[in-house]
Amino acid sequence: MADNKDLVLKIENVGKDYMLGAVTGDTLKDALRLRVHRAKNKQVDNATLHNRFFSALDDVSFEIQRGECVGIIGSNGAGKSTLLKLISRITTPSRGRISIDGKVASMLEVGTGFHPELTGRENIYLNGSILGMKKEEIDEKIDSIISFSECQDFIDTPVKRYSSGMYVKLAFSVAAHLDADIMIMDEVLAVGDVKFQHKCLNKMKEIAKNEGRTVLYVSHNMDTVSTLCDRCLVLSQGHLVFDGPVDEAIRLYNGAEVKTNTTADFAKYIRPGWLQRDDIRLTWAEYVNSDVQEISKDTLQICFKYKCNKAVSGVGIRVELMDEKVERPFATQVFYDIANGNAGDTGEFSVCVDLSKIVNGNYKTFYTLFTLSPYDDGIDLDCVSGLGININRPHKEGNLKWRQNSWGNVRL
Amino acid sequence: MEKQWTTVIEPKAPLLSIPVREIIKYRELIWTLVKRNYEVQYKQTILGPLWLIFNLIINSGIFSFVFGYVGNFATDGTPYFLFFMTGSVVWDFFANCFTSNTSVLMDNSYLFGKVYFPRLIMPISNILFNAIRNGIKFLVTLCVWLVFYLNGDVAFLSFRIFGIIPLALLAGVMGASLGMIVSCLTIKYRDFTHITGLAITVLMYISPVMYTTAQLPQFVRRFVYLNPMSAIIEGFRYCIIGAGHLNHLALVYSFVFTTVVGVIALVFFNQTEKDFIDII
Repeated sequence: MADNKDLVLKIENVGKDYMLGAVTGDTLKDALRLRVHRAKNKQVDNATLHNRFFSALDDVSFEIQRGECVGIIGSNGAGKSTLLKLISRITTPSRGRISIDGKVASMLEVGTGFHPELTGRENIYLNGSILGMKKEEIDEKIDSIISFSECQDFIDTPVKRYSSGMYVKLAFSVAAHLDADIMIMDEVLAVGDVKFQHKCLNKMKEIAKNEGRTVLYVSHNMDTVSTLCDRCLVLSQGHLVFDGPVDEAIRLYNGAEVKTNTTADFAKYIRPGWLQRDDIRLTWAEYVNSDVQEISKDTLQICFKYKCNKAVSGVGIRVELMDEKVERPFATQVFYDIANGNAGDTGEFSVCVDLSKIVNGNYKTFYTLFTLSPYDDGIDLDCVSGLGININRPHKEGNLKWRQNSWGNVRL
Repeated sequence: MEKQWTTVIEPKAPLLSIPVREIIKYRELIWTLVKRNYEVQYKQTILGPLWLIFNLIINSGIFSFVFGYVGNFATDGTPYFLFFMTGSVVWDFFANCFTSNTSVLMDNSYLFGKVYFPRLIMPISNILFNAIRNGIKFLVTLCVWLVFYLNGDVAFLSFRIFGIIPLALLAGVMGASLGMIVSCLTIKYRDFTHITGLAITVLMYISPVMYTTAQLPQFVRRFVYLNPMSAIIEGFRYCIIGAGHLNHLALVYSFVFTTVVGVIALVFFNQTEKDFIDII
């Protein structure tokens, strides 16, 4: 194939497993005991052993052409870092194959290998050569590295006496001057104060846009992804769920694509990474009696549909309201025991949210499904960002005028 | 036609492979790391590497007093000071290569977890660094030898002196290999961190650093060469001062031992380095 020549990175069915719990036991004694134990009850152990693996990445395949700038997004725990670690050869995959053409430079962390006792200049050489630069290359770039870092006056002082800001600035400067066919960049690299962060991001843009280099860019900041990248991968719980244009990917990641004003489809919504269980999933939410999003009544009827992945009972829902401006939840309504079912069952329920105490305004919502443990602790099963609420009641003559900014969103 | 990739990453690593080409590509890194070790060790010291010399002299002095003067150990006619020094240079090289590599994976995990370079670079730069340090000590030893020579206590050097190069190499590689094996084991079993200090002390006392094998009782002498360092230390000493004797069979044994241990270390290291970062 002709266009095959331009491939720089090819990832085929890559998976990575991590073992949960203690790997072998901490001491030799434990390890021996484990081995003896394993020899005795082989069958039992196979079953338990299977549960002890956690797939951080599973069956991920994609290809990247020369000169492409690809963003990787996904919530925490989606497998982004693992993927980057595999590509930059820090650890090996459990399955599959990764083929790379050219030199990879990974900027996963700033200041790798910085030694506190050495001076700034010595550390530039040390860090540079650890990252794979040649000495002549560093000689050539050292002036621009130093001037970029804004640490000229301190460059011959041991870095242990640097302020933390100076330290990361110097470290980023070295990383930013790397030269490689494939650059792997993590957004956490943008360090320092706001001014320097802008400088970092601009430098990254410069690297990505000019010089026709291939860039893999990981970020939680959708603005930078959309300005930097021309293609985007979305990872969710170790799977590649989307590969394509950036704006579409961002919409999917934010879950906005599937929402209208009064209905929301959660089937493809990407759940937050902290969610431990997938017993039950919300699939649909809808405002029943209002066809406009603007609400002037004191109650709001919401209809939910759900699907059970495992047998569950006594599942409740929390509807949380969050102020759009300050991003802070301020009111929660809890409904207990509204859903149950066996694995594979689907069902629906509706709840009536009381808005009588909420002042006018635009609010975001979150729907969280939970179940109560035997000790009455809530265990969250599903969490999605819900439909927006826009309350707009006409002001009644003679009532107290509520000052939202100083008195809060809940009124007397 | 199948595309030519520079790198292909697969779950299985080959059993025994030395990425020679890659190491050559990263040769500057080896040198940078050696320089880093050196600079870090002597930062904020006034005397710098002179400490190395003081340590050696004072150590030799103490041991000469205890074993040479008080203990009156036999040394085949060599002054005890020089006798101890020649043995301790090669022993220190072995011990330094061993101890600096026992924690090579753990100590550098912060690096290995963030950036890729051939992991063998680290043990190699450790050997090189210790070679330089002990090279300095060796030069000091030669100066001490000169003093004794001018005093008429020892004979002149002969072409035998070139024998120290393969012997030192053997000691270094053996130390580093044993160290790497321990380092791989330490990843999973921290027990080994407690053993190494003890092991090196025990090994030092059962090696002929402070005594000659000739003065050992007959039945012990049979076992002393089971320690692969015995022949190397004796050989080293023989090469410089011409005293003692060379046990050829034991030297062959040391060579075979080093080769076997070296291969095991490489295989073990290759298998461990690829994903030890997940375990550590």
